[in-house]
Amino acid sequence: MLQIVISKDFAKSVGARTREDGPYSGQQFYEELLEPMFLKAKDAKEKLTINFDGGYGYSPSFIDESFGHLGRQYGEQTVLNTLLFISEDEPSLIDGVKKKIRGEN
Amino acid sequence: MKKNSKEYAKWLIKRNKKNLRIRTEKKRILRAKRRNKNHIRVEARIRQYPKRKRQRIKISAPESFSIIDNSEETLEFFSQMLKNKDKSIEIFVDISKIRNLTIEALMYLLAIIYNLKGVHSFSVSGNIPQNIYIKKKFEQSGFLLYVHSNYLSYSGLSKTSDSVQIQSGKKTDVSFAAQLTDFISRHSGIDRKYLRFFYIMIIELMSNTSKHAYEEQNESLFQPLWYCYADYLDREEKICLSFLDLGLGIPVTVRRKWYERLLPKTDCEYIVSALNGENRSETGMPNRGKGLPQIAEYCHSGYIHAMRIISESADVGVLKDTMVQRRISLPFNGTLFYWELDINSLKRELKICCK
Repeated sequence: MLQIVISKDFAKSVGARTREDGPYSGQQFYEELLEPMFLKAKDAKEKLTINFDGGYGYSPSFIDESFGHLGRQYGEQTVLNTLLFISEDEPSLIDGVKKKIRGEN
Repeated sequence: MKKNSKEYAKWLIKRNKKNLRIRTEKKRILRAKRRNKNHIRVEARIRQYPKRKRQRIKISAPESFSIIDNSEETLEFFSQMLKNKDKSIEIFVDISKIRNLTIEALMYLLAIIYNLKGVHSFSVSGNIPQNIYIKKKFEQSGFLLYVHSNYLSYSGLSKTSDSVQIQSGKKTDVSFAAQLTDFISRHSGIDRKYLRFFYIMIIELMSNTSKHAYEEQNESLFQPLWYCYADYLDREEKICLSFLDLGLGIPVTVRRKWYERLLPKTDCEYIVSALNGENRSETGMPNRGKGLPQIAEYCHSGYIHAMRIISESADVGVLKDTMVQRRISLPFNGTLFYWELDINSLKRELKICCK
């Protein structure tokens, strides 16, 4: 099963929205990790697990530019059917991410 | 004398040496003449542009040097400095007699010094507080790390100190945001995973500094920088944080509704509106503008005990159940956020006891 543990595979402390804002942005995460792994999982018809534990926190702009953008690019249903989420440190985060994928505010 | 004879050869050598001496002498005289001419040109230039003497003025800081506690007098002090920014002037800042000091005032002073340095030969020098307690606070703030100082007794803080020294930056600094979170976690005994709200808040504010605040860069007095400082008050079991954003200020950068061009709101009302999430994002996009409302939500839910936002002529205090608005007479360039985290009430709201 494909998995991304954000705190280990990307950064423990992530940034804001775009690369212009600074390092470890949502845009950087999307381009370098999330989209390639998502496409790999989609082609192999597998699930991609996203683990949010261990990090310092995920700002709304980071979530929107990464997961929200994925939902806008590939369709909310496709994305929600492909991704699985783990967040024991902050269970409410999963609902927030799903809202962003659906394009809700 | 025959041409191939030894005598002729000797005569030839002698004649060549003589000619060489004559040519060398001529060159030396020519070079000397040219040097004298240049020397005269330089002297004429100096006489035409005599050295300018800079005017020196002394500005004394108020006894309570604090934007939070004494905004009127402190901002008056800063406006006196800024009044002279277009002059070739040397300002001496006298902070020796201050009796109350909060670090956001030092951060703003640093911002003025840093941004106006080199402009029209504007320069700033100053002294340090005489009061022992205030002097210690001044040293621990990290202000002296940003200026040239002859103050020999200053030494850097250890990592276990009760404050995080003044830090500045242009973009989001994830490692500093992590450092602040760890500071709160260490002093409060609360696990880092419960302090995600704080990390997110700092990241959003840093991002705002570089993004929304500088669309009209030419109108801004300062370069797009943020400054931040944190302090743990042991006796009160409270952590105080100041975040200074040197942009155009919230009331200037928020998106105006069409009817507000005819009936503009006050600066306080714009800030309150942005905190209430009334679609005030400068971009106008539906998935934006969640940063300030989220920060207000943290106050209303009790995670943040109290917050002050000072921007332009607005001073807005946010508590759990209320918002207090006050108009300040002198405009504040940028936006100042000041938070107090009460450790006991934070633990109560987070429904946890310790790490």
